[in-house]
Amino acid sequence: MTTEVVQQGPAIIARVQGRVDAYTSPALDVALATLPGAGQHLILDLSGADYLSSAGLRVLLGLAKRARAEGFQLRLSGLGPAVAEVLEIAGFVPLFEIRDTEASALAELAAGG
Amino acid sequence: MTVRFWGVRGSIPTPLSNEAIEAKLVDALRGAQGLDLSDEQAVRDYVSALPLHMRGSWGGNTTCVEVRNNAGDLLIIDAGTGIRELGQHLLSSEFGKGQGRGAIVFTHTHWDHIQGFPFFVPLFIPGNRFDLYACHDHLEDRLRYQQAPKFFPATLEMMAADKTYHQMLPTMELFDGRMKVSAMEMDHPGQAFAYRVEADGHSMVMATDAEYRDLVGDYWQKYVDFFRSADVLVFDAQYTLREALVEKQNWGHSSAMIGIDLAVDARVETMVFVHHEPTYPDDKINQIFHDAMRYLDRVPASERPRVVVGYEGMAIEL
Ligand SMILES: [Zn+2]
Ligand SMILES: [Zn+2]
Repeated sequence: MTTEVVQQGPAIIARVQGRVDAYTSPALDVALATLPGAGQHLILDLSGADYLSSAGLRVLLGLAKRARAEGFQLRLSGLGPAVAEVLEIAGFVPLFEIRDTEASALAELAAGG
Repeated sequence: MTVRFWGVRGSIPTPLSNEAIEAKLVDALRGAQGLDLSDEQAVRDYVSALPLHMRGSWGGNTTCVEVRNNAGDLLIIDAGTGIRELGQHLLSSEFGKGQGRGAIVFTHTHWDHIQGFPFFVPLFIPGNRFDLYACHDHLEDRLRYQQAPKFFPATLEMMAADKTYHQMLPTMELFDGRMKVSAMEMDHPGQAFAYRVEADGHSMVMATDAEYRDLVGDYWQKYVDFFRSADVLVFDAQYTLREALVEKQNWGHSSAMIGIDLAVDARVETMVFVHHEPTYPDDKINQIFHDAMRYLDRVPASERPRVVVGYEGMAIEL
């Protein structure tokens, strides 16, 4: 599992690659801990994530809680069928703003949405 | 080793309502439309082919599991209301003649794990011998309190079988070494303990009631190690994942998805979901199970445990 972080316009984009499970999710947690910076929004792009376990879902949940507490906007993007299905099974879909692509999430945030 | 389930419901006994029975009948009759059910055998065949949640119920009795080794030694885990029926069943054996010997081990003493105890008839028959184990202190006082005259007509002293109370150790040998039982503390209000039972080269783990507050690191690994390569893992799957992590955080129970992740990491052979949520009708429990199967589908076939929903009367032979 790797996380690539880039800044684009008003958003920090974190691109997750690989498998997020009990053994790799702590690294994702650490990578996301200081994101986004003040006044920025966060896009978590999961198009490279091929496997998400309950531990991975828990990281996403923590991120959503932090977004509410700290007042930044969070978008998930690029969910492949496997990751989308896990979010759906877990009943997590209503807890997140999910966009098809990184580009559509970015355009929305740039437009102040 | 044989593992038999006498009570699989969580929190409170849950009899089927008239509405639930009627709904099952309606579903069954609708499913029969167009079939030739003119003779009785055809009707019986049709009914017995229906899935359990349509022709019956997962069960409404609270936690009780019977474990037998090949020598036939009897270990009962928890005395929820399911133990009453087990007691009736045992009366046709040496327990009906006051010649039975068994052990009861308690995960904890929340109501749903002890409330069947005063209805366990073998305990009223002189000559039967029971060894009672708990990790919690003062087990005898806890049971006596439940049967104080204010709450129940038959006191603990009226139960004439020979009862010996033991403080459970981290690992103990029972039945002259024919069974080994290890204990592990679980996260649950007031503490609960999981038990790993080993006999005849097989192992089962009873892991109810338990919440997993973290899903990574040493915390996760200690459970993986305790469940490692168990033939059977009986797992508290009372909630959906969202309930376990969001709405009912700190309520002390877990979910099927977390169970599957633990079972996969621990290379468990068979996983049994129990402690079913009392407000969930049978078809909802079935739906949660199907969702869990979809979740399991992503795991490579060679790493998948067998996963089943626990129901009253289910037996697993190892
Ligand atoms: Zn319970
Ligand atoms: Zn409990």
